[in-house]
Amino acid sequence: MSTDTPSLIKLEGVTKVFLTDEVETHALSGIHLDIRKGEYVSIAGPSGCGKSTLLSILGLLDTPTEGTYVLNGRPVQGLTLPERARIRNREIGFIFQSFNLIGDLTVYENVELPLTYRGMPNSERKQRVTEALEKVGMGHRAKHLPSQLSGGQQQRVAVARALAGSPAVLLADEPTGNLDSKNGDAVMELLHSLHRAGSTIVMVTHDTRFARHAERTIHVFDGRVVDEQVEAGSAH
Amino acid sequence: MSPDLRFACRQLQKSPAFTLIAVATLAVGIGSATVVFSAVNALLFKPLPLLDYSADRLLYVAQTDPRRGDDDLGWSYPDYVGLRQRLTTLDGLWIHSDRTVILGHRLEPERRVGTDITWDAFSLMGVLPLYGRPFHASDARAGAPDVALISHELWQQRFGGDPAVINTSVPLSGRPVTLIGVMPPGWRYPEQTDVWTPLRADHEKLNARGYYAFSGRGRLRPGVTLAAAQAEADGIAAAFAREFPETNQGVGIKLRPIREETARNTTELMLLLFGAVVFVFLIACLNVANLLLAQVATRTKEVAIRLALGADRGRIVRQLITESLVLSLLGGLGGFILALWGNDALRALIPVELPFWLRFDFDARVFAFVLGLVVLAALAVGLFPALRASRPDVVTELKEGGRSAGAAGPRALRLRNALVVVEIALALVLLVGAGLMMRSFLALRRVDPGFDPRGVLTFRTGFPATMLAGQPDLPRRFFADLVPKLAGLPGVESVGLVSLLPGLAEGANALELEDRPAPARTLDLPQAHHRLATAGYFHAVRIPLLAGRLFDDATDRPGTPFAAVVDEAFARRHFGDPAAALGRRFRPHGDKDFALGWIQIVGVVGSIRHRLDRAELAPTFYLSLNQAPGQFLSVVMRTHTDPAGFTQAAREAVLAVNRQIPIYHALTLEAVVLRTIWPSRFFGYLFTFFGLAALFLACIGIYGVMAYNVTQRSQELGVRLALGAQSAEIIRLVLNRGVRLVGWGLGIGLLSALALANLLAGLLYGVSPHDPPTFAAVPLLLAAVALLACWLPGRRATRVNPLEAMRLG
Ligand SMILES: Nc1ncnc2c1ncn2[C@@H]1O[C@H](COP(=O)(O)OP(=O)(O)OP(=O)(O)O)[C@@H](O)[C@H]1O
Ligand SMILES: [Mg+2]
Repeated sequence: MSTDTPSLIKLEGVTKVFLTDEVETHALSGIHLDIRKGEYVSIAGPSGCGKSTLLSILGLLDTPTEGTYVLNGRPVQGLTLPERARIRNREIGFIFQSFNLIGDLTVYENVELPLTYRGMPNSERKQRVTEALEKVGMGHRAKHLPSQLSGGQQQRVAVARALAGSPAVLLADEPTGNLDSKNGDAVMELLHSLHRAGSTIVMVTHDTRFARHAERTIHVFDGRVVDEQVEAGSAH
Repeated sequence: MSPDLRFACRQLQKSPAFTLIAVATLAVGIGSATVVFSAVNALLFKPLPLLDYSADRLLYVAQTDPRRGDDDLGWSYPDYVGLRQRLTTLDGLWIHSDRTVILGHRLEPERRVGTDITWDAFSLMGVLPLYGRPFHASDARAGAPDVALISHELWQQRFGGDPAVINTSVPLSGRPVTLIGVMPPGWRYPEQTDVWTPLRADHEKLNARGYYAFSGRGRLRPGVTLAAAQAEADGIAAAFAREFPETNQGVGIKLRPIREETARNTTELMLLLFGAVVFVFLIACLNVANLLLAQVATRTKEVAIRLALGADRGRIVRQLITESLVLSLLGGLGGFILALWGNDALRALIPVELPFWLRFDFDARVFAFVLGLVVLAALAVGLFPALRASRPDVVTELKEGGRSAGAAGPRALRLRNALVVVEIALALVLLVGAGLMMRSFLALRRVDPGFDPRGVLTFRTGFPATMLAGQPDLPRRFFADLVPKLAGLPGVESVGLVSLLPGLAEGANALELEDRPAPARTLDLPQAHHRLATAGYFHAVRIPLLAGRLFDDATDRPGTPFAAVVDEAFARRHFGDPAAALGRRFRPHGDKDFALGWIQIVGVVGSIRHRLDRAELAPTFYLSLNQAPGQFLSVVMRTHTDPAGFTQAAREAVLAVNRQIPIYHALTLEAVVLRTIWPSRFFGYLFTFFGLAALFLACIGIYGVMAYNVTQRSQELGVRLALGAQSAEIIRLVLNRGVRLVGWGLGIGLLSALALANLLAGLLYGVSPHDPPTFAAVPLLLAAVALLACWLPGRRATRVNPLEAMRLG
């Protein structure tokens, strides 16, 4: 693990408390995390331990109750909603377990979506979308609707959507959770190749097989980081 | 209770908000339609009370002058007698003439409507007295003792329902008259009569051919068609024309079903209004159908599972229809209650006394109507959703797990959108109608009537001819004493007398102008309204003097040549301008009422509109009450404070001058004016009310659809938010759909309104049916309100929590 590359994500003392019906759920308790550019980190842990909550905070979909979050050298906890939306749009690419493609839009339009929010000119959008779809091997399906694709294909489109905006980091929450093992393997292979090409990836997964793809696995238990292990074979 | 019904009730209990909104919406729709239907029913369908045969056999029979476009001259007595002798297709023909009667009898004098009527009219109609006897032929002979029938209402109110009053003598208009019977309750023929007297051979108006003083009715012989009767009447009219060319040349006879005649001014409006509430009802149904579609959409998965398990489709349709039937039954109940209340409100809007046959109370027909609406609503509301829900795409529904976001059944979506478009279009049409009617009413109110009705109290009083026996000068002396008495009341500015108040268009006369050739036919003579007035009248109602002078009692004395004040319209029509009219002479043609001779014009005053809903200014001339005294007159009093507060003082002043004379029709002049244009206000209010109801329902509809849309799309919206969409973009996205629906609705509505507005053309005053302000303002208003209804769910959409929204997916 090289220590000279700059820190992309820096969490310090991040806590997340959910208050429901007078019951406090401490989903995260004092998380410290440092992720550098180009890393491939996987987050593992039992169900309910706080993995998705952590990822949501990383993706600026949620705010920590306490602690600081510095993304790309910029503290982000005090930002307004529109600013957070802007950062989500430019710096972060999401890949969800249930794909979350928009059914009324074609594959092409789905991938194009984050770029239109950026106000990117049409020609550039076109180039980026085509590239992203080529990268995931879905270029020939640009005009299809999501309902006309298999689960694995839909997830590849979702990856393309995450990629298209060249975000600083790709966040994936159990991207293979809804896929059979063959399709799951294909998606994992895709993420792996993206990593090799330089992308920073943070992925939540249950599957130890896939966790091994990552250079570093963070083990979370009951809202705390309990262990970090570095895959020998994946080091730079 | 059938299992379907039980399950339906449970379903409706499960979502009380939906049930409440649906029932309330249907109640508004059904209630509105029922209120208007009860009016249509009263006007067009309800039989006359107390008749045991179809009202279709009752005919309105009138002499007509087609060449002048006058289809109701009334009847002259000799023509009526001739017709009755010759006509075979009718088994009854009778005429009547209303007059004011004054009841004495112990209490304060009281004015009622009396009717002189052919002695056998009630027998021909088949309505007999409840107590006492009907008229006999002998009652109608010249010189027969005076007898009268009275209404049950008068009997109760005035005589305490005492049977002993029958066959006693009561002072009626100053003459003892024997009450021979009491008519059944509710019988006030022809409209609001309380005292009937037989038309006697010595009646003052009987022998003038060409003098149309009576109103005629008849009854078709069973089995005879209206056309056959009309053909016979045409032949008889032609015979009259040959026998009495001077009076009857070109005069026809027209038979009409009595309903057609009595309702003719309002039928068109009533049907329009009925069309309007049918719209409201439709909108309500569409709304509930939409709500139900949304509700059912949440159940498609359940239905799909059932169908997959082999459930029978008919059974599922039945279940859903039962639910909508329960909804519409509840809506019908609510609507009925609303209608009872609306019916009272409707009557409160009518400032005049209604004829006895116009009864708005609910009969079996109204109940049947409500039930019909309930069934219609159940089908309209339930059928779409039921058919939709019972045929889900089983494969898609069950594949849910792997389904992507936002795929919310494109067919159902299109249907719901179409319903909203139609709702908006309907609301627009209604609101345009309402806007036009209200603009017309306001235009009528803005019209300068030519006089100033504010601050004036009016009432009517006077002497029936029978009270003048032996003292023809009585009215003159009475009014001469009364006017100074009233003028002396503190707070009274000026007092005047007039034979007919502004607002009444009656009393037209044919005229001959001096030095002008007379036309061949009486009916081609110039016409003018005539009024008898004092100079004080012009002061009190502020009609300006334009040339010459007003009446002057010292100059315009009885026995000297008659002086006339004419109005500007009269002067301009015949003499070019006001000043040119001074000194010219004219005389009423026929001149049967008063032997006037040539009348010289001494003054010209401003014209007034006798009817504010008419554009034309009818030429009018005034004679001095000092020269041509009137028996019944309207008193006008301009007061410094609220004129209505002077009624009691006026009554006391009248009684102080003559204890036998009541005052009646005590109203402010403004109220009198309003009475002449009340239908315009009445229908304007109704259209506005129903337009607003439609607007409200349409907004609920749009809101419901858009809110449902947002719920359906929350996952998609969550994804967009996660991908960095800003709030404004989300609102725009939601609004976009709404705007498209509203746009379509407005477009279709505008085109329909442009086409339908022509139906209103005849009812509008001072406003074009394609009035640009209305056509601009209404869509703007509707668009604003509709967009607000879209914006609220859009606003809510930006608060979607992307995390939760996506988890739901
Ligand atoms: N919006 C919320 N309100 C209340 N509690 C929540 C909320 N979101 C998560 N939690 C709670 O926080 C804890 C962590 O949840 P989280 O979804 O992060 O777990 P996870 O590690 O992703 O589990 P899994 O592997 O099953 O997806 C759980 O106890 C969960 O019940
Ligand atoms: Mg999770």
